[in-house]
Amino acid sequence: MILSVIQNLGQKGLDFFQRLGRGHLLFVQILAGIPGLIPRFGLVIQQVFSVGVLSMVIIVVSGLFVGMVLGLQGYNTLVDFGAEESLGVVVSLSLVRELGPVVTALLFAGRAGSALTAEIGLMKATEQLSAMEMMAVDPVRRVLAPRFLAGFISMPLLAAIFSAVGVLGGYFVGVGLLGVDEGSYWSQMQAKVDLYNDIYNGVIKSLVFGIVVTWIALFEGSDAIPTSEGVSRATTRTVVHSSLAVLGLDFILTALMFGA
Amino acid sequence: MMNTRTVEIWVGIFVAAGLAAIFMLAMRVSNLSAYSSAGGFDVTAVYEDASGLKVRSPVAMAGVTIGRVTQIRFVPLWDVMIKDGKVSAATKAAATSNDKNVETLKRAYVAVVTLHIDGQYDKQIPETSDANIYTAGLLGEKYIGLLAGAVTKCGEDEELLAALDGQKPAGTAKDCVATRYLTQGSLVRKTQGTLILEKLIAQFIDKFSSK
Repeated sequence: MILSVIQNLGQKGLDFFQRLGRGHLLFVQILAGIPGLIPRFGLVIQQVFSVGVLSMVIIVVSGLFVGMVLGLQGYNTLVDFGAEESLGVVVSLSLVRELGPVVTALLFAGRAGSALTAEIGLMKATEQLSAMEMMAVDPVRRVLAPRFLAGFISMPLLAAIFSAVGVLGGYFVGVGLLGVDEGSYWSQMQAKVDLYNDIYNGVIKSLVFGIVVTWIALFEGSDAIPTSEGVSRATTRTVVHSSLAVLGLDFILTALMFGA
Repeated sequence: MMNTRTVEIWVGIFVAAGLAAIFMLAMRVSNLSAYSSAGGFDVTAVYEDASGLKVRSPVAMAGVTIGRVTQIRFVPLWDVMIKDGKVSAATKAAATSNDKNVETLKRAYVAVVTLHIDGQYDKQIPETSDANIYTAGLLGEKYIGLLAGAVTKCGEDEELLAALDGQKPAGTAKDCVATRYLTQGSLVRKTQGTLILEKLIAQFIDKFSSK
């Protein structure tokens, strides 16, 4: 009885480390496959379309609303201190440093990551990947690497769009509805937001999140049990794991970038 | 499946929108415009106390930001004086000996702040200007406020400069012009560091208790 519990634990642990190892091997294989994409960049463009362009609507809409909510909430807090002129600083710093990269990554995991996992899992279930191998086409280079590069390219662009639209949303609410002075909205923002410390670090964050989310999605897809149930579980795992990874990494990155 | 051309156009729009967003964040949201002024010159100011001042703090003149703090260092007062040429050759020779005053100077440390000022103000600000550390608002950040000093004409006001330098400024009329205005490498001589509330209160209490 006790032995079987311990055995179970050991099995789980071994499973975990095997998956971790497979994940890292896949990552290395994907990275090795990226140089081969340069002559066939059309594959990447196709994937940027399905990963990036199709995510744009949700990113723009949520960015707008997040910015508008920040405008409202920030105004209500700041007006107590007579500091509502700093609304632009509050909105832009929270968007550029945190909410832009993080919320975009979470939405990206839900919108694009799950789609990637489901697509690759189904390819595996319907033995398309094995068929490619039969034709001496490496599925990592042909299928996974373009998707990875597309995620890497799309994520910072999406995060930048999110932040920019959010700043505009905060502007509409703050200046348009609540009567914050337009000049101080922009000028305080420009005085306090630093190109290197804030915007550059935000872009680095979104690049890291792009790598992590796409990697998890691709790994879960190619590691899925090739049944309809297995694919559905893998899709769920993609969203859960990449969301957790994004939030955890965000803490580490924030501590490194803004902590000291 | 859409045809390749449509896909490529959409991807093009997406990438353009993303780059435009980054561009907007850089230009409209951040202080990139403050960097864009090409050129500029560095001047040095020495403070007894530069607490609260940070790298990239603004340097303002009449409320207009004309530059930024680029470096804050902590060095012996002696080094500053040697660099500024305030120390005569005789004193320098005495430095090797165990002169008590030199020892004191070597042990006195000051904050040396480098200010980067826009190129358009090169040779426009009198060297006799004050560079004081002020606080913006009650709780605001520290900045350096430049207050234009008297413009000294060459050959006049020698005693004013002499008083500031501790020695008579030498040189011909030509390099006299160059030294009368702040330019690359000049030293702002009239400075006042951060006013620290605790120190003021302590002085105040001191005065009262001594009575």
